[in-house]
Amino acid sequence: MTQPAPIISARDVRFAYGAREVLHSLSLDVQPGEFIGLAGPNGAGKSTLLQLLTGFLHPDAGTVSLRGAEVCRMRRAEVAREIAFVAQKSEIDFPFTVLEVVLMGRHPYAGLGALDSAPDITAAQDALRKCGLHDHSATLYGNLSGGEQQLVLLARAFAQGAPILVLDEPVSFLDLRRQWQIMNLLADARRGGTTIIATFHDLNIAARWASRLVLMNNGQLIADGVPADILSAELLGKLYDVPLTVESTPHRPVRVDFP
Amino acid sequence: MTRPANLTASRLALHVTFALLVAIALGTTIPLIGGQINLKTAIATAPWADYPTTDAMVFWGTRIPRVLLALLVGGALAVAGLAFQAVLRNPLAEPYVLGISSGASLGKMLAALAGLQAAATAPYLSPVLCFAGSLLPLTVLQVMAARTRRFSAVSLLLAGVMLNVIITSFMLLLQFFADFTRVQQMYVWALGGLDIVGYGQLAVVAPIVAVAGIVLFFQTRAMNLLSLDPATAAHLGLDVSRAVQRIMLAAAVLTSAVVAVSGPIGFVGLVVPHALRLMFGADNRLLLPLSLIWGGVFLLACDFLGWRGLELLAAAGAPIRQTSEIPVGIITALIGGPVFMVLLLRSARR
Repeated sequence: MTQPAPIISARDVRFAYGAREVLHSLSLDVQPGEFIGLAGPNGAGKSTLLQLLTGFLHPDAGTVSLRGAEVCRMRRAEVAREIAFVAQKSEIDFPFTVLEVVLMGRHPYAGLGALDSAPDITAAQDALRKCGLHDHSATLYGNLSGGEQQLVLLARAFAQGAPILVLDEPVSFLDLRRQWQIMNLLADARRGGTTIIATFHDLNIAARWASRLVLMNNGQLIADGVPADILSAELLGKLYDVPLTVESTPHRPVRVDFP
Repeated sequence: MTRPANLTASRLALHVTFALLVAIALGTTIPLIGGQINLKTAIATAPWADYPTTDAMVFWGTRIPRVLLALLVGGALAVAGLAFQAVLRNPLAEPYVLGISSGASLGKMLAALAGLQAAATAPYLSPVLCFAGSLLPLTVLQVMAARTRRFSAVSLLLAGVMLNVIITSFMLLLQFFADFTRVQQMYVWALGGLDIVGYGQLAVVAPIVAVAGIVLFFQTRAMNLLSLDPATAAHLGLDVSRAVQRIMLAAAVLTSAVVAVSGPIGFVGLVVPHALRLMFGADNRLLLPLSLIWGGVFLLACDFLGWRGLELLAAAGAPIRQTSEIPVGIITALIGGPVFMVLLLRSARR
């Protein structure tokens, strides 16, 4: 049986910041409809990999292709119609309202005119409603809590209407309520056909929601597969250099904890 | 505080119309005030006729062009400030603070000292010389702004401030070695003023401002994205380096055109966008046309203070001996400097 063509494909990608190489000949195929959780210690190269997959950084060697085309040769607006990126956090120094921030997600579809089109406004309002932010559309972004700001950034990504969603630590620093809310929004999006790639520090969240878990260390992939298959106490102990237990419970196929 | 959440055509039209009405009202009132001229005979003369009386010459040949120049220069400076603020992600950025104005001044000054005195004051050549000078600080800032990981918004602004100091010191050094009469001329011009005779300079500067302004208006979406941060802008589909280059070049063209006629006038680009942002929010698609109009109104009001202020005070009985005018650059700096300080302190507290 042959697999369908990958929607994103990284082939032997190397990347260095100056003289320090952070990704060493890494390959990863993303299939349409997957929810890939990307985990590993700080400095493993997770965020760098995300930036390469979105074409924001260009690999020093190897290629990243999006539906078969080399992503860093594509126009930025073309990429933005395919991939929406949600940064870990984004501080905005100017007094933009929530709706204004979400409407910026429509930029890849903007023509020359200065005003927002009716479809743009509908898309933005739908995204706000989906994220439970419709009462905040005229609030200043800077006046929101960190969790609400993260939701606004997610709403902007939904408004962007891209089939691929890439998120850098979407739930770190958030309280449990926001973690639950955001993870369920991502699960909904996946049910709607969106392909998702996200980094996580919390392996239990990654294992609970992701369909495929990719573990990274020192710029290389060290494990890749269904979370319950690859998470083992031995592997994680080596990866993080701390004692960890991995067990199966009646409710969860896999549960990682300190001993 | 809430405000209308998105930009609609009617909202844009309403605010632009109101601003235009204020500009027209002030622009037609100010030339009528003060001075020892007979307005009746002045206004009775057609503006395009050979001025038969001194009254007509003062009114049509000095006052009216000066008002038009103030509106044009103020608008251009406010728009340039808005553009630099978006690109450098800092509401404190502004062509004067960043050294773009002093770079432009240096271009003109070098040409003047090199013996191109006539060239430096020729209406067509002067903006070109200023633009050449402005490219020096502009290039440094542009290279820094493109390296987003390396430089924060604060270091970009600081770099601009330092460029301003360096260029200004260099100009002082040049003046120190230069011929006294030329220095005097340069000194007055460098204070930034709007004293103008006739329409020649206006006719050169107005089209430059119009073209650069239109270019920038089509970049207002890009300015919105860039004022978040360049990485986000790229992920939202913007070709960042091209947009930054276009916006900074257009802003430098605006700055150079006005420095060529009025000298370096500071802080208009800081005060006006800041006040507008407080009232209307951060959407550059609305802020740009409003900055163009309110910037002109602000500079017109400041110029009126410097131009007629002392005279009116003296007429009211204040013990002022000298009633010559104060260059408007001094007035805007006296207003804008403290505003800059307040903004800086507020941003430090956050």
